[in-house]
Parts: sequence; structure tokens; C-alpha cells
Amino acid sequence: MLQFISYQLFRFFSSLKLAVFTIVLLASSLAAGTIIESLHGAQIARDSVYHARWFAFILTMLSINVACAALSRLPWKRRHTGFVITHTGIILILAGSLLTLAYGKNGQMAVRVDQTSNLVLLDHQFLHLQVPGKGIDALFPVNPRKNKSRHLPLAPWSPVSARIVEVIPKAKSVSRILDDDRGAPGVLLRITGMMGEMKEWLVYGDPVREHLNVGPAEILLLYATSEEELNFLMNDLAPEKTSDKKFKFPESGRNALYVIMAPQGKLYYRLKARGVFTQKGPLFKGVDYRTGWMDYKFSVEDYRSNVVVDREYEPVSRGEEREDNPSAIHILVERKRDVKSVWLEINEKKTIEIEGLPVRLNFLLERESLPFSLKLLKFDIARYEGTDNPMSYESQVEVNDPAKQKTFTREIKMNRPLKLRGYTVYQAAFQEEEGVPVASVFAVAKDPGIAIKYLGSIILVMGIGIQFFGRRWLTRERVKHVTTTTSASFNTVTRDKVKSEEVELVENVKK
Amino acid sequence: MIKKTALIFFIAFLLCGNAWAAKAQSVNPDPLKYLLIQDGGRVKPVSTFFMESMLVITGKARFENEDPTALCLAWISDPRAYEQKRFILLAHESLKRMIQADLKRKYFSALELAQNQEFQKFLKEVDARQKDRKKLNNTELEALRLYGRLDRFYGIAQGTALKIVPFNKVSKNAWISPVDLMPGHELAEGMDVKLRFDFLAVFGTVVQTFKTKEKSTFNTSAKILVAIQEKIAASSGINFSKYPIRQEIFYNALAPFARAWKLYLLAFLFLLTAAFWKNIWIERAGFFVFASGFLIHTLGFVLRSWIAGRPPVSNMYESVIWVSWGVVFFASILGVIYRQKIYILAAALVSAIALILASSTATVLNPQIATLEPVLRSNFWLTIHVMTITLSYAAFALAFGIGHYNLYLYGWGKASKEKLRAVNLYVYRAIQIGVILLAAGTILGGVWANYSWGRFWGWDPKEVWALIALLGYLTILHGRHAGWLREFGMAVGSVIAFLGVLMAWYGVNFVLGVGLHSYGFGGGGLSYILTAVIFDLGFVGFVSLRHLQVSPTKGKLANKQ
Repeated sequence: MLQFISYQLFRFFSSLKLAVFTIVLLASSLAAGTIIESLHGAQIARDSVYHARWFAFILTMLSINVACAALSRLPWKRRHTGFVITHTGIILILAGSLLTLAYGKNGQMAVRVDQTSNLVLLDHQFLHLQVPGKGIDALFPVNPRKNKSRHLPLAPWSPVSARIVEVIPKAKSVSRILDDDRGAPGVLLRITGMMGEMKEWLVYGDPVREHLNVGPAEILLLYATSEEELNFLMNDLAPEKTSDKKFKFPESGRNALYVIMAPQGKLYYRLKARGVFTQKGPLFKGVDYRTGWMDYKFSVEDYRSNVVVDREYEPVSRGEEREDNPSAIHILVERKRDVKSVWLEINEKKTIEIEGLPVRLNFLLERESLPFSLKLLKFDIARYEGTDNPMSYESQVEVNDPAKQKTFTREIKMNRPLKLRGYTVYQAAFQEEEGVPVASVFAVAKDPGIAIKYLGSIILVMGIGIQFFGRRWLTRERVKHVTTTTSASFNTVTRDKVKSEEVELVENVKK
Repeated sequence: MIKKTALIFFIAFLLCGNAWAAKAQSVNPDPLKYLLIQDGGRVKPVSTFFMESMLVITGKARFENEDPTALCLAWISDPRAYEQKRFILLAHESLKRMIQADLKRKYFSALELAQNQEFQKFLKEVDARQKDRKKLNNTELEALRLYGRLDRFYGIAQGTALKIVPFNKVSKNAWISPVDLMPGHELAEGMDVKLRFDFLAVFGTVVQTFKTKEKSTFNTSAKILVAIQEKIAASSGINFSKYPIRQEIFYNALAPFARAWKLYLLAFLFLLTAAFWKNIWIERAGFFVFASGFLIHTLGFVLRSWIAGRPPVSNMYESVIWVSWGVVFFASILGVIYRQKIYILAAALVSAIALILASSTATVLNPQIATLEPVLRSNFWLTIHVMTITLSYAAFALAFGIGHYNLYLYGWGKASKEKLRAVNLYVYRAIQIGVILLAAGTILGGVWANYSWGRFWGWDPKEVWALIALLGYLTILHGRHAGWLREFGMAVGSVIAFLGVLMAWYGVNFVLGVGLHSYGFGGGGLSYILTAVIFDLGFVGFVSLRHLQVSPTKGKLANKQ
């Protein structure tokens, strides 16, 4: 019985019908994938088709089918040569791809001119959670594509529990200003001019909202703790006159507005036009002040002594995406009755306190150290004559391979990667500052499946060739016997099969 | 016999040339043909530049059948008059609406476009969007193109775009224009004063005498201008002999692909006539014309490789040229092996249609020899990946062509079973060649991608569609093996499966427009292609119905003997 079932199963899996069905299914899924990519972008196409489970299932079915079909012809005869070789090739390619999927690595490595690095940032993102002194130190892989709320499995003795609520692959920050006793002073500034109206909060001590860049000018928030400091801020204030790190300065030659908070809740302002101080004076809520930069005016709408910036993230809307949109993660940390909500950008660290217990969170990219290091000697962009169109990107690197105690100079450019110790380093991009390239970005890959894929490819193409054009030779003996009509020396086997079926059919009809 | 065929061939060749089409000109701008210009990242004869500019500006290589060089010289000699003439192409409906231009007209004058306030406003918006790195829609892209046309016209008419002075001491590696030679311009600083002002004076004479139609002065001064250019180059350390200029002038004069399609079409007509009349002389003439078409086609391809310094398979235009060459190539081989005219007949028609498309849709398929993106700069991989994969398209196109003939036989012909079966074999052979090339080409693409991007397979739409096309043909081969697809099914399959190739070839670049193979992206022609596809599917459907009606059981028993 069991034997019968397994035989039937084998027949099913090795059948041509299944093969054709799978091929058509695969082709239609792929077509759908490309259309999805065109409409919604590569990432969504990858998530919903190419990397989806059901797609893996189709591929698995295909490999089983291919393997069973090859085995079903056992014992193989001479005429099966091409067929078996072709199918072996397909299986090898699929096997190589599995190997790549499991053990392959892809990452990026940026090296500045004259600097040395061996650090590769891999594509994988991780959340690192630590509760110091409580023996909790855990690393969780984060898949930005799988935007599902999930509980993080922490050790049973963990004093906190944590949950990833949301992961946004391409995020932009939105901030809200909240009153909070532990906060810092904040000023809501309104600027009007030819380009319209703009309202922005300035918040003391906040990395983003303390120093704003708004179209025509820079806006800086300063805090004077004493009358002397206020005096200095209002009358002197130049980078060369102080070494105090708490004072920030605009780029020289630009328009700037200083909003100065003085003791007893007073506000003052100073203006710079093209790098030269112009007006200054006390600043009152609700009054319009001229800036002297074209027709711009500003006023203070609100001034609060204790605010915090609550930064949240939301997905960048379609069509607005940029290369440098960070991914962001939303985590809830829980202890007893207290719940803290934390947003982290990629490569951001935060320590939160929950019921008096510090919890460290770090959202980071997996790093790997290469067994060799690269020093970027020079980065060049060659251009086509008389144009700005790039012809090639070339990095001169000094490679240091400590294991072999070898140092050598190599050029890495497009279509000329560096292969060393199982890694391949490609020229991928560059970073520039003020129009001058300052760093070269390399893509680094390790693909243990590649040899098998290549072997499979060669075998596959050879197999097809033998099937198509070697038949005559492989079935030579049979051809001698079959003296068929007109042009039928090709594909004799199939022909014979078709013909015998036809004869049967004809006979059936006659009956 | 040879004399007779040669005569027919000679007449055909004469008919196909461009000489008869040339308009009578008062002054022939020919002596200027050795003048060089640096444009689009390479050095080329001015005639190429003017022809390309004509294509950019008017959408035609020969606007109103004028010689492009002559027309451009006319612009330079009298910019004020020509900025009021209507020749700047604007056919995009929604852009016309956007800038409130006359919907009925296809050509506009430079002046009216330059003074169009709506256009200026729209351009500013587009510019802002572009700076924000936002994706532009078709109307916005067309606005940029229109700006490009306008800019190109004024650049030529005012001389600033004519980078014909090979002096690159000040500007890094870039040639300068006659305008830069005028007193006070920095870019010509350090240049030999005599050469500088000689060039300017002689250039002025050339333009002036062209306008006043002083033929002999024009000829002499044009030659002097070329000589001065060479002197300036020598003083800047530029060696002209490294540029394949003679080849390019010859290539332009030969217009090989425009000539080839005429010959293919003629060969097709000859062979078709011969098939009906059973006349051996007409048939031989047909083969001869076909062979000469193939010769010119090959010559054109070789010349283009020489000029470009790489295999010319980097954009849609070049791939159409190459694929149509492949069709003829495979047809010739298979035709000789099987001694079958049908291969030649099908190839002549398919190739002619492809080349007509390439020669007549310059705004969609750009014939300019362009520079390559850094990632494509590998002649080795271009040759073995791109040429292999596009050759598979050629084999499939041939199968597609013969498939149609096969369908025609099923629908209307009174062909015997043997004949049907034989034609079917020819289709099958072409598909076999295609499958092995497509499989190899796709894999080689993976190998190249692994070599230059670091991954073998990345689900890029172009890769995926190459795979889909392959799977399509595999379905047919498996169906045939299983006996589900008989002769008629194969004929239908060879036509339907070609849609996959069409999608991988044209659709990914021109319709989907996403992915890493962005260097071949373009737009346009979709409505025509769709119409053709629907029409063709209609044909297949009609034949199938007819075939089934003739014998309702044929679907199953068509091949019993």
C-alpha cells in the first residue's frame, strides 16, 4: 500500500503535466512581480513575490519536479544524456542559490581618502537591548520588510519586557512638542516672507531643534545663565572670543538670527545679515520684528520653560523617497505598570529609564571585520572628453593582508573588483563634500554558492545543446532502424512516441 | 546569368541610394566634412553633429529634405530669420495643453517657444522637482526635451554649441567654440593669437560665403578652416589621427541600415514574385539582393563598432540593428542547411520591418552613437552577454516570422501534410537556437552582474523577463515533448511566446521603466506596439478558428497520416 502511494506520489512529482503547470505558474508569478515593481517599487515586489514563502514553495516544487523527472528515467539510457545533464544543471543552480541565501553576505564599506578600514556594514539590521547589572544583553535581528508587531523573547529573569511595534524601512521624523517637567525651554518662532509662512519650535539642548537651517538664514537658540553671559551674548559673541562649547555659531557670511533666553524668563534677539551683526534688542511675544533679509519678519508665538521633543517616525510617502531615508523602529518597553515608547533611527542609541531602571537600546547594522584592510590612496572620476558624464570611478587602494603579511596597491573600479580571501570588493559609489569626492564606497560580498551556480550554468547550457543538437549522434543506432518520412531524423524518440499514440487513436476511431 | 542579376541588383542599389533624393543646393557644404567637433563625449565630424542636432530639434535627419549641414549653416548665417521659422518639434499633446500652444501644429518657431510664459513657468517647476530628486512624469520629461531642442537650436545658431576649436588649455579637456575666440574670452587665453583670429576670420568667411552662395570662396575657405583646426589641435597636443573620422564620414554617407531595409524589402518582393511565377531568374535576383542587403548591414555594423570603439548593442536602436542582423544571419545558415527559401523570405520581411522601425522613429529609437555608463564599459561582457542574449531574440524573431507563414498555410494554404510538418520543423529549429542562446545569455548576464555588482541574480525586471521569455519557450518545448502541442500548436506557440521576448526587450525598458538596466530606458511607441500585438493576436485567433472549423477534430488528429 505504502509502496503504491509513494509510487503514485513519485509519478505525480515526475510528471510532465506538473512540469508545465509549474513553469506556467512561475512565469505568471514573475510577470506579476515585475508589474508590482513598476507600480510600487522594488522592495514591495521583493516582499510580496520574490522573497515570499509561496514563491519559495513554487521553486521547491520545481526542483522536486526536475529531480524526480530525471530519476524517473532510471536506468538512464544513452538518449537521456542531454535531458539528465540539463536537469542536473538546474538542480545545481538552485542548490547554489540556496547556499548563497544561507551563507552569503552583502555589505557596504566606506573609506575616506588616506584612511584605512576593514569594517563592513552588512545589510542586516539588529536591535541591541541591554539592562546593565541585570544580566540582560540580547541582540534581535530586525527585518524592516516584515512590519509586524512582535514580542521580543528575553531571558526569564529579565525585569523588563519589550515589543517591537513597528519597523519603517524608509522613514522621516515628525516631532511634537510636549510639556514635561524634565524638559528644557522652547520657543515657537514664526517667520513670514515672500516664500510664505513658517513655524518652527526651537528647543534648548535638542540636537535638531537648537540650530535650524531655514531657507534664507540660520536660527540659533542660546541660553544665558547669568547677566554677564547675557552681556557677552548681546555685545560680543564671536567664535574667536570664547572657547565655550555651549555657544554655537552660524556659517560665516550667512544670515542668522540668535534667540537668547535670559534669566527671569526674558528673551532677547540679535540679527546678522550676510555675516555682519545688524539689530538687537529685547524680544516680546506676539510682536513682528524685521530681519533685514529681504522682506522677512519674525515673531515669537509661544515660549515655554519646560518642553520635550517627542520624535516619531512615519513612512516617507511614495515618490518622495531618497537614498538617505533612514529606517526607524518603534519599541515599547514595559516594567510592571510603566510602559515607555521609544523610537530609534538606524545607528541610534538611547538609554531610557523605566521605574528607575536604565535600559539601553541600540538600533544598528550588523558589522563584520574583513580579514584584510583597505587604505584609500586616491579616488578618481574619469569623464568623457568635454562633458561631465562619468566614464569610470576608480579607487586606488593599498591592501593589507596581515595573515600573509602582504601589502600591495590595487585599483578597484567598475568591472574590476578586488577578490581576496573569499570576499569580493566592488566599486559601488562615492561620497562628496562640497562637490569634491572625499570617500569611496565599496560593496563587499561573500558568496559561497557561486562556484556551484557557475558549474550548474555550464552543465545546463551543455545539456540543452546536447538535447537539441546531439540527438542525432546519441540516437544514431535507433535512427538506422526507423526509416521515417520526410524530415523526421530529428527528435526521433518523441516522434515515435507521438506516432504510436496517433496510431492508437486512429485505431480507436476506426473501431 | 550573372550579368542579368547584376543589372537588376545595380538598378536596385541606385534606387535605394540617397542621391536621387538630394535637393538641388546652391552651395554644396561637402568641403566642410573634415571639420571636427567635440560633442557628447567624443570627437566626430560636424556633419554627424548637425544630423544628430536635426534629429533632436526637428525629429527628422533631413528636415524638409534639406541637407542638415546646409540648414545649420543657414541658421548660423542668419539666426534672426531662422528663429522665426517653424521647425522645432512639439507633438506632445499634454505638454502643448500645459503651455497653451497651438494644438493643431507639430512645429513651432524658437522665438514663440522662448517667449512662451507658460513654458518658462512650467520649466521652473520641473527644474525644482528635478532638484528635489523627484520622479518626473512624461509631460515633464517632454518639457525638458523641448528645452533641449530650443537650447540646441540657439547653441548652433549663435555658435556657442559649436565646440570646433580644439584648444583645451584652459577648459579641462573640453574644446571651445568660435564665440570663445572673440576678444576678452578667457577660455582662449594662451592660444596662439594668429591662429585664434585666423580661425575666427575664416569661420566668418565660410558662413558668409555660404549665405551669399559664393561657391569657390566657400570651398577654399572651408578647406583652410579644416587646416587651421588641425594646426590648433597640434598646438594643444591633440592627435586627430586617433579618431576614426573617415570611417564615420563613410558610415554617414552609406546610411547602411536605411539602405539595407530597402534591399531586404526588394529581395522579399522578388522572392515572393518568384514563388508565384516560378521564375528562376527573379528568384536568383532576389537572393542576390538579399545577400547584398546582408553585406551592407554587416558593413554598417562593423563600421559602427569601429566608430564607437565597442560592440554597438548599448541601446534600443543598436539592439534592433543587431537583432535584425541576427535574423538574417540565422536564416542564411538554416536556409542553406535545409535548402529552404522560406527562411530567407521570412528573414527579409522581419528584418526589413525592424530596420524600417529603427530608421523612421528617431525620436523613440535614437541613432546617435552615445557614450556608455561606467558599468557598461567592458567590451568583453558587452560582447558575450548582450550580443548573446539579443541574438536569441533574433532566432525567436525568425521563428515568429516563419510561424506566421505556417499559420497562413494552416488558414488558407492548400499545403500538404508534409509541407506543413516541414515548415513546422523550421520553426522548431529556430526556437531551439533561441532557447540555447537565451539560456546562455541570461546566465552570462548573471555572471557579469556578479562580476560588476556583486550578485548573480537579483530579481531585476530585465533578468526576470528574460527568464519569463525562456520559460515561455520551455513550456512550448515541454508541451511538444508531451505531445500536447502538435504542429499547429507549435506554430501558434512560436507567435505567442514571442510576446515574452517583446516584453523583455522593449517592455521592460519602455513600459515598466524600472530596474538596474536603466541605461536602455526610453519612452514612446507603446500604442503602436500594442496595436500591432492585438492585431497579431487577432490574426492568430482567426486562423485558429478557421483551422478548427475546417476540421473540428483537427485539434487532436491534425497529424494523422
